[in-house]
Amino acid sequence: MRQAALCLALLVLALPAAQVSAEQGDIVFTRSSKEGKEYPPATFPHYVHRMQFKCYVCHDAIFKMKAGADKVSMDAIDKGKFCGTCHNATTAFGPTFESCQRCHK
Amino acid sequence: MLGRSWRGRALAVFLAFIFLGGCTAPPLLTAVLGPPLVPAPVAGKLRRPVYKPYHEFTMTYNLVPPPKADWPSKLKALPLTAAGGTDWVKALNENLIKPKPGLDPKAEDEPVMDLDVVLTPKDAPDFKVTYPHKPHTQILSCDNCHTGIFQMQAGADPITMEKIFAGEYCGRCHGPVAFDPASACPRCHTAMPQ
Repeated sequence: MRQAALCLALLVLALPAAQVSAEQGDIVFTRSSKEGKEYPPATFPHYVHRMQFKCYVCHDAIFKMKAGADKVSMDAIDKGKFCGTCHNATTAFGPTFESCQRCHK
Repeated sequence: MLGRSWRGRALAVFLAFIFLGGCTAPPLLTAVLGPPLVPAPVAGKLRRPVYKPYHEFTMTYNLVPPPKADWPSKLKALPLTAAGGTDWVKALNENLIKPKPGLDPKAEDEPVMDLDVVLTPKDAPDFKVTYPHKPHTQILSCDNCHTGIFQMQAGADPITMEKIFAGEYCGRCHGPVAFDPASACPRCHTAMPQ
């Protein structure tokens, strides 16, 4: 039983590490806050989004077309701004405890 | 003692079966322990962690829910340009991707403008640039570029390759998101040999 739990823990730890890869247009946000340095900064995969939506769905109404122009924060996302416009658990997956590593990887 | 008698061997095989079975993939595990418990959905827009009893926590085989679609393999299925990047224009025109014009299902595409703008440097006519509006307006709206990045008049902006590589004008998208200008000169400088 304990072995099984250990194996599961290893599986859980190993899976997100295997998913990290960089594609063109990936944006790694720079972290300005000091809190939460123990988890990695968020990566935005452009290609996933441009396969589903045209550029003008997000630009420039939600995001400016310049890196660092928008002050994205988890509080703003919780209030439905920036990523939270869609990532609210209804349109797309929401920012929950289970989904941290889909962006912070 | 364990390996000599047939009872000892049988016990060894039985123990090996139990211990190895504990370290194999979930199918065998589920046969022994039952199906994994599905975590309760987090209500509303709450982001704060919802702590669960420890056994429920560890019985959940993967804490990160897998994405509904396998995006990396979908990207690999798209055509490539000569430089090796994804050919998004071809992917769109061959309906390999169908980007939606908005979140609203009734949202309509913004109009596509088929207008080529030819920009010829005075001192180097061989480096003339043909800018096609069509592939840009298929995915962008007019006010994405006009007039924040480009004036609506041919030759009104002092565009240079240095500025493009520094992330101005075309370089706002070409390089970071769209095809890299350093990798494909003849795609813009249409008078250059392919």
